[in-house]
Amino acid sequence: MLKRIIPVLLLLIVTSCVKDVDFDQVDDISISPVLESSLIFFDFPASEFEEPTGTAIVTVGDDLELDVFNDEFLRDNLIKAEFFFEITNSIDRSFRADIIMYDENDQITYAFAIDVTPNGNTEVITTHTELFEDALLEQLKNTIRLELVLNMFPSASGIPLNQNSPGNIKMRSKATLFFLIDTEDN
Amino acid sequence: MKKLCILFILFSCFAHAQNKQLLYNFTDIPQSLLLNPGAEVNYKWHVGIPLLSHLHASAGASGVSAYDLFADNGIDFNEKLRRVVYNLDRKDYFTINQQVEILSGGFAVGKSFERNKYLSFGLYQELDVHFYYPRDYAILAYEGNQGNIGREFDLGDLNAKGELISVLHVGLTTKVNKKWTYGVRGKIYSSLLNFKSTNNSGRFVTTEGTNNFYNHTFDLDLELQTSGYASLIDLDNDGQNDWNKKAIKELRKRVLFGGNLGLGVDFGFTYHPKEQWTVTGSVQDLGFIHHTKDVETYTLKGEYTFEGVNPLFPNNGSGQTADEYWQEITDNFEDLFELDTITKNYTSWRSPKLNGSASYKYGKKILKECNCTADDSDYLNEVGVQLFAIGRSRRPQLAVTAFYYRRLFSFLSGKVTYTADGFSKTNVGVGLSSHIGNMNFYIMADNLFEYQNIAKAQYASVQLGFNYIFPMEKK
Repeated sequence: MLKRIIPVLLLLIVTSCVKDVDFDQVDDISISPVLESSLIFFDFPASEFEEPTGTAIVTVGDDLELDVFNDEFLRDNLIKAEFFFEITNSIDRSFRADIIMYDENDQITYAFAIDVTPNGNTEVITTHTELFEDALLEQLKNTIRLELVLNMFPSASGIPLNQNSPGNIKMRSKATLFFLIDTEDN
Repeated sequence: MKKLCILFILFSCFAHAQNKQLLYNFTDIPQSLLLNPGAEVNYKWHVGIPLLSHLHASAGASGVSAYDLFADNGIDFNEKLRRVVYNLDRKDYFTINQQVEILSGGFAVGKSFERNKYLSFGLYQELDVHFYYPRDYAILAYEGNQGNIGREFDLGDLNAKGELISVLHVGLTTKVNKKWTYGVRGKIYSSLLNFKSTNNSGRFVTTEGTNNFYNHTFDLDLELQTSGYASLIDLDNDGQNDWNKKAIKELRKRVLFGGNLGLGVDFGFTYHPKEQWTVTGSVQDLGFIHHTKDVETYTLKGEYTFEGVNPLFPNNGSGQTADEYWQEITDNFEDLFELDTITKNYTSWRSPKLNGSASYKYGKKILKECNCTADDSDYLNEVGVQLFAIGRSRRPQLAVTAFYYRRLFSFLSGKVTYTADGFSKTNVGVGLSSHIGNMNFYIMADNLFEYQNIAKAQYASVQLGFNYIFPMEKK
């Protein structure tokens, strides 16, 4: 009896098998999370651009270190990026925002501009989407520094800007990052 | 990836948490004393065959089986993965438990005419890993935050602990009278390796912002405590094989008092309210390990809300220069995600286990000579109910078992169990214990219905062992 039962039980354990299962499927894994992050913002009153002549070009600018795209994880898994800008202007002047990207050798990798036109002191919303794919995405991944330059152009009507001039210029922006995480080496 | 596969196979091949419903109160087997030091054993002495007296391996996953994920059924793997990611909830858990008895033995003590006490002792090694499904982390990684604006990701979903220990124990079982038996077992734990991350809290949330599109709020309070780990990582590494060898050598040193030490106790009883009725109960591993050697704790703590960068003009009211402003943001992020390593002693509690049973014995062997039963013979059958509970970081896990025990022949007894718990509602197990001469061999396996395709099982467990038992003579 015992001699029969034990082998049967052992057989059961040994032969108990893993059927209809394919563990290699794990190689097919691909997940595609989408992250969104706030980027640059500002909100300035007209007085910030004070100029008594009405004919001057006022330029302000700043540098930002932006080396996240160098990150190994992003390098390997980021497949697309989208920068979205929204500029709301109620200053009676034209503006241009230049966004210039630099690599570690201080070479420009990419640059783009957003033109903003006024409608008196009524709010005008200008939006701009910059898509980074393929070769452009590679340039983004080489970027370590970003420069934002805001130019204000002379008034068409020659009205100067002083402390009491009405209006604001506002920018909001965000980055949308599309990932594809899989087992293949990108 | 191959390693991951193997882990998954292990998960489903030897599975089940620490409930040893087949072994519990199976008093033909000396190792039943490890589950209840008050078990009613009837040996003069016994000795376990070194390293072979008790082997136990199990792993389980509540809510998912390897089949769910790896079934070769034409459904896209990523679709199956998606189902798993969303169907599991934060109460679901994964567990691995493995034990090997290194040495064990016992003998009856007491006055020579009535040896009513049984002293048992041994040394075993145990590995126990338990972690909850970190649902919010999984969903954040799976989806990203774009579709989850306003959703708070609970960082407390990370809850895991693992330990590799050796246990040296001595227990004394006392038979007070025909009705009562009780027992106590003292344990000295030596922790070879320990990690614990069970006190995490915090959140990550993206909300609509005012100055910019979004506010990203990070509120982190995460901690991972380790012992026995830092020194292994620091071992000289001349290749993986070399490191493995050194690590095993180092771990072996810690088996007998070489690790972080702790104390624990088991106690239990057996009671017969009537001759055929049995009630038992036990508590195991009420104990702790105090970690003082080779301890390292990693913490991630901080709170920060990021709304983007406001770049232009130093004169934005704060008096900061753009550089200073930018530096502050960078510093904030660095502070937030900087892992602090501290050396801090800590105490880890073992997962205590509760067992209980109520059962009824019946049917004595009919003697051929007289077609009657012998008064002093044992009952052949026993039916009953068992309860099992184990304390885990968040809440106890429970199991209910119905069992039938039968003495099949003088040399063979068997037990069949039907168990319902967090893994399965239909777990049938069988255990057999044979006594040929004084040699005892037992083998037990559960979740037998799933054995034709083990991948579908959320767990199954295997236990086996060899002992040499010298029973009490019948008076």
